Amino acid sequence: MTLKKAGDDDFDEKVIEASEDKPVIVDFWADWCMACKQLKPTIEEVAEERDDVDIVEVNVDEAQKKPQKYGVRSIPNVNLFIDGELEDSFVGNRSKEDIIEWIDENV
Amino acid sequence: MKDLVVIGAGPAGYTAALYAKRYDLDVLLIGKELGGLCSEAYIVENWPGTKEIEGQKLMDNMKKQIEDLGVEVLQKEVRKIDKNGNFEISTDEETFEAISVILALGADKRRLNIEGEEGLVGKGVSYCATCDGPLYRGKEVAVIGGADSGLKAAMLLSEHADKVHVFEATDELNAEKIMVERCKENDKVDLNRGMAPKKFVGDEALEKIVFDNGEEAEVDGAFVEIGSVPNESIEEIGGVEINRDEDGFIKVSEDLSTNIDGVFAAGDVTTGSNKMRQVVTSAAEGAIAASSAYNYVGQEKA
Repeated sequence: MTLKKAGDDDFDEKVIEASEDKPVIVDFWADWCMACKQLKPTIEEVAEERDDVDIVEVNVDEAQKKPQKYGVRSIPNVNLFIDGELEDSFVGNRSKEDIIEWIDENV
Repeated sequence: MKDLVVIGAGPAGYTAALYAKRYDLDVLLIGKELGGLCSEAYIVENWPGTKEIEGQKLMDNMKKQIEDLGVEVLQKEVRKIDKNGNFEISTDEETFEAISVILALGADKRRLNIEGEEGLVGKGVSYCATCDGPLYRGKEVAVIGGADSGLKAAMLLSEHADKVHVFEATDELNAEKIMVERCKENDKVDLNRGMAPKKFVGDEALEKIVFDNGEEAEVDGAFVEIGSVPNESIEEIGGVEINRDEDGFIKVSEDLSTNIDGVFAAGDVTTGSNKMRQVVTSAAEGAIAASSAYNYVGQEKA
């Protein structure tokens, strides 16, 4: 499962609607954010390994409305959507083990 | 088996690894956050010889320098250290054996520990203006803390936010005069003394700050800049507690040795350099610790 991208226009389709079928994890990031850059390869690895979730990345410089709507005021901000609802989120860089544990706890 | 494992990827760790490698020690550097606190510094103007440089860039330069010499920099968190003759340093995935260790663990940002703070971290409450500042374009924000780091954060935030309110709890701004002047001349920044925050209020995100004196401030973001505390992720090695002072700083001698043979410490986490917490002092401590580790390894191998 590879990492997907979404912006303001296709967020609802790729995240909210898609999460009705399968949980969707959203990674809000920006290229000026060091912790985001450090998290990126970890998230990519998790995306490769887990087929039971979709992982979508949203660049907060390009998509300004959705981060605003979901109260994203710190990045990296990783949110988990299940059945159209925001289930849980975490902020900051995490290890692969921690992310997998977080997924298992919530999904 | 390594001669030395350096734990921490800030100026102290990088400099320790640099000196160790040049002493021909087989050295490995393991750090949780590449660049540490320094990489959160927007601009560093007091690294000697360099008029100004982004904290992140300075750290990238240090990392590249040692990697070019053949030092491996592993971005992982060290979970524990055991001692079985030599030291066994463990991350989640592997365990490394080494004759000596340098703890360059750095510091973490101090929290206010007030009501509403924990629940709003990442939702308006932040400890890093360089990290989150750009997310507040056109908004109104507060900086808690009127010392150097607070005023620097305020100046940085004014490049993004429309309004920045600095709230200092005491009656004085304990900052360099030049920083106070820059803030006073900045139309977007106002300085407020005698304002100690009591609680953060907000449902899904921060809405306002309530102060001890009853006043309130409606802001979209609050950046807490009240100093840092030494990292305490490693408290003991092989069952022996690492001696720290009452504020949590690792006690070091002049040669940067700790109470445990073969274990040295450097940087913000130590009691060294008169506790002057700067990139330049951390780097110096890294060099001294490496030199001490080199002598120790030489003796152990003799």
